[in-house]
Amino acid sequence: MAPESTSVQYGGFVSRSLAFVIDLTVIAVASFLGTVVVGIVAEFFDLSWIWNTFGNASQTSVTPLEALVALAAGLISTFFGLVYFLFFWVLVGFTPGMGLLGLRLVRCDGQRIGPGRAIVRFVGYWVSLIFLGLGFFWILFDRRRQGWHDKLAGTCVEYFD
Amino acid sequence: MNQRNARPVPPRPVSSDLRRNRAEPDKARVEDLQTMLRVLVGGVLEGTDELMRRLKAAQAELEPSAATTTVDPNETDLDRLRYALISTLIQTPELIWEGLTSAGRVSNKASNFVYKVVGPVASSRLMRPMRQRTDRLIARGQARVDRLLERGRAEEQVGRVLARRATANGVDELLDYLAQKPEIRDLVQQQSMGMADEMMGEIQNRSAAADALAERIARAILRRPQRETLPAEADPRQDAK
Repeated sequence: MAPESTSVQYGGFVSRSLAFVIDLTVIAVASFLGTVVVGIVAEFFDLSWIWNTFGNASQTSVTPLEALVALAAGLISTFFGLVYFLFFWVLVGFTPGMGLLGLRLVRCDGQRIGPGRAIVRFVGYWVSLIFLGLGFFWILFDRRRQGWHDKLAGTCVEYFD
Repeated sequence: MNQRNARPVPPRPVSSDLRRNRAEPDKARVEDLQTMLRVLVGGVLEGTDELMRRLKAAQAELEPSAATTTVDPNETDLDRLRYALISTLIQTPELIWEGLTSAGRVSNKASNFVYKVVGPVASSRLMRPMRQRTDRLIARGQARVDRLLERGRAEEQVGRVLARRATANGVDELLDYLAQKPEIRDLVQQQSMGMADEMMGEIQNRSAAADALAERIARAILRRPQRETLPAEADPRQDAK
């Protein structure tokens, strides 16, 4: 873990992967709970007609209620994921997963990141992912341990101390 | 609801007879699952009651010694952030309760006001069909809630009895055994935050070591120079200053 050139120690692939898994777990649990609530409400008030109105239920093997709950799960996960990452990156400087692993997200000059960079970084996740995750593996070879999403947003992940 | 009437529900892909035949062999499995769930629910409830009783007793013993707190002169911003988070976490139930109470009061006031304004209109003859439909909806919801409550009440009692029988005196014996062990007592009396700190420090050290190892392996596989051998580069922070 010797620093490359200065006293800054950049977070590596394993630490960042662990942090990411922790964050995804939090998001998954929250999305699951949200979906359960939507499911209960939809079932209780018999809201499956919403799916019948907007979707063509006869072409699928799932019931309208299942389709509605699946749609809600997708929307809740995406929305909560976006809000979760942006909130923690911009306002706290690290997500709970990063905090547990002693990592924080900053601009490469050490300043806190703003909402614009955070959004670019979030979009960058998808860019890193679509090329078979190569953008994430780039962390292993990069001088500052930056993934493609970091390169796009001009951010670095470093250890607290 | 008009859309619902206009668009008929699509035909089910499986006929009802076929479905019934397929469902029957699974009935026993469903009952087994329900029994397991009853035992689980009963176990959780009984266990929580027991745990709370013991935690309260332990807290009553510890309270006099925990009355005074010392401030570490080397306290960092991160430590203070942690204390603030802990304090917030402990206060959360209280805050939620206060929030719910005031929300209930506001809701009561709002509904009284709305009833005063809307009441004459709602009770007029013109609104009778709408009122009947709403009453039916409320009655349906109420009946469903009543059924849920009735079943939940019965299931809780059955679950508790099942869990008590399943565990018999095992839990008590285990807890007594653990309470008598000095190592366990010492462990409980240690500050939990200190333990968590140590654990997290260990995880961070190990993950940092794993970072370096993973990088070394990846660079070796692709025959790229190792990080240690790379020439130094300018520090962007120094440049920024």
